[in-house]
Amino acid sequence: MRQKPLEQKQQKFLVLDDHELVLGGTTEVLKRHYPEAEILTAQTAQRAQVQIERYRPDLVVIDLSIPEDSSVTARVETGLQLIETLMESYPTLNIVVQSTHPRSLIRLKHGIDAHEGGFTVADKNLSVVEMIKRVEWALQGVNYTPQEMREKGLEFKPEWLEVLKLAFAEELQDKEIAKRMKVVEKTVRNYWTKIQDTLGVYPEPGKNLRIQTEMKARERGLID
Amino acid sequence: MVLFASSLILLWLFVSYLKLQRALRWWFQQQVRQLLGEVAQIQDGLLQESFSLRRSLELALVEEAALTSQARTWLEGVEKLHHSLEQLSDSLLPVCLGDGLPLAVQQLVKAWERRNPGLEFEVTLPDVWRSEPAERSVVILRSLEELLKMALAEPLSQAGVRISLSLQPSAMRKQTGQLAVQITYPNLSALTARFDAQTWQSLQKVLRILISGQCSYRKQNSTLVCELRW
Repeated sequence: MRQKPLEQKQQKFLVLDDHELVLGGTTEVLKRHYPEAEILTAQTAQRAQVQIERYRPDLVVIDLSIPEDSSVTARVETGLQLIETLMESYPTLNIVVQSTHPRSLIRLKHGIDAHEGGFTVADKNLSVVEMIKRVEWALQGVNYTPQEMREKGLEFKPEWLEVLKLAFAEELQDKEIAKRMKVVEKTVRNYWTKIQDTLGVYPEPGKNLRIQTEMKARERGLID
Repeated sequence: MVLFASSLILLWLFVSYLKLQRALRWWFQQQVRQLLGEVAQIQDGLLQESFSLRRSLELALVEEAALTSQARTWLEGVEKLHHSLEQLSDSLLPVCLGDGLPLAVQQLVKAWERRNPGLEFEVTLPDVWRSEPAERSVVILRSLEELLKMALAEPLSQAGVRISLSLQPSAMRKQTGQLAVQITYPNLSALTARFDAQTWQSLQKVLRILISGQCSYRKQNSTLVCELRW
């Protein structure tokens, strides 16, 4: 889901955290950086699902350790299950996971790899600036996952290697790559975010993302 | 008569051993549960509070220019506190234990790598791991830690460490967990100086009593190969 101009549509964010103080802090930060956006909140997985179904937010900021409803205690499994459900039901939803132990996301590796929306992780030890960066990346459709998920060897899918080959060996643009691979252009863009996350390449002001990607891919011997 | 008495004594010893083993396992299980509770309190309580404190300070920092210097000092203090709480939580029990033993082993090795840049670590971990009681994973992790402490005792400027975790097929359609640690020293004397038979025997006993596990080792020139199975 790409960020839409404000004049076209008011952005909607949903923040999910069972700790009221955390919820307040995160909401306040988002309000200051996105004054025009509507910020919704939820403290349980059930409430979040209802809110998402009703308001279809552009972005969800979600804690991993959350309760299913107000009668039970918070569990990481509940957060993981909710994210899995959201990725299945809303494949283009932009998600930011804000947690003290984001490493647990390794359990959802395959689902995250297949997710088409932005997906970033913000450890709760991050500063406001870094946290907002993760929100921005998610709104741009970028993937940023915990290091542990990218470390276990370079798990490159054949289609990602094909994209690298077509882009850097044959110098094709996304539109042409999509034609050659018989997929839509959006899928090719999604492949790029996965490739860049696996290589650890993320948007930086003044730097060309594709060139950075090519350099890293050559460094790792993925292309000649 | 003597044979009968000897059999009775052996039986009594065996039953006593089983009772002692059961008591120790129960005790250890309680300890792990308590630690899990404390880790949960840090993760779901203290770390959340330090997060909201930090956010409040950061927002104040933006609003109140006059407070900038003081607020920055507070902010650094809160950051330190958050980091210390994370470290405390990890030292009690790794949070990632619930995400499976492979991730916990990976975290442990990463910590060793950070502390010992001269040592070369190579880790092979499975993508999928079985569901396992927390106390069993704790025993394996702590055993690995003690094994590395013994085998990589300072001063050791260089050594190659290969760690491999896997599930091996065994009888009755069950799988045996196996952790293999291979350490290649620069020379034989480096190996001999570090291998402590008493520590090794203690590890063997702990594994046997707490998780019915086994461990073995062999020395090949200047390489030590240890295997833990459970």
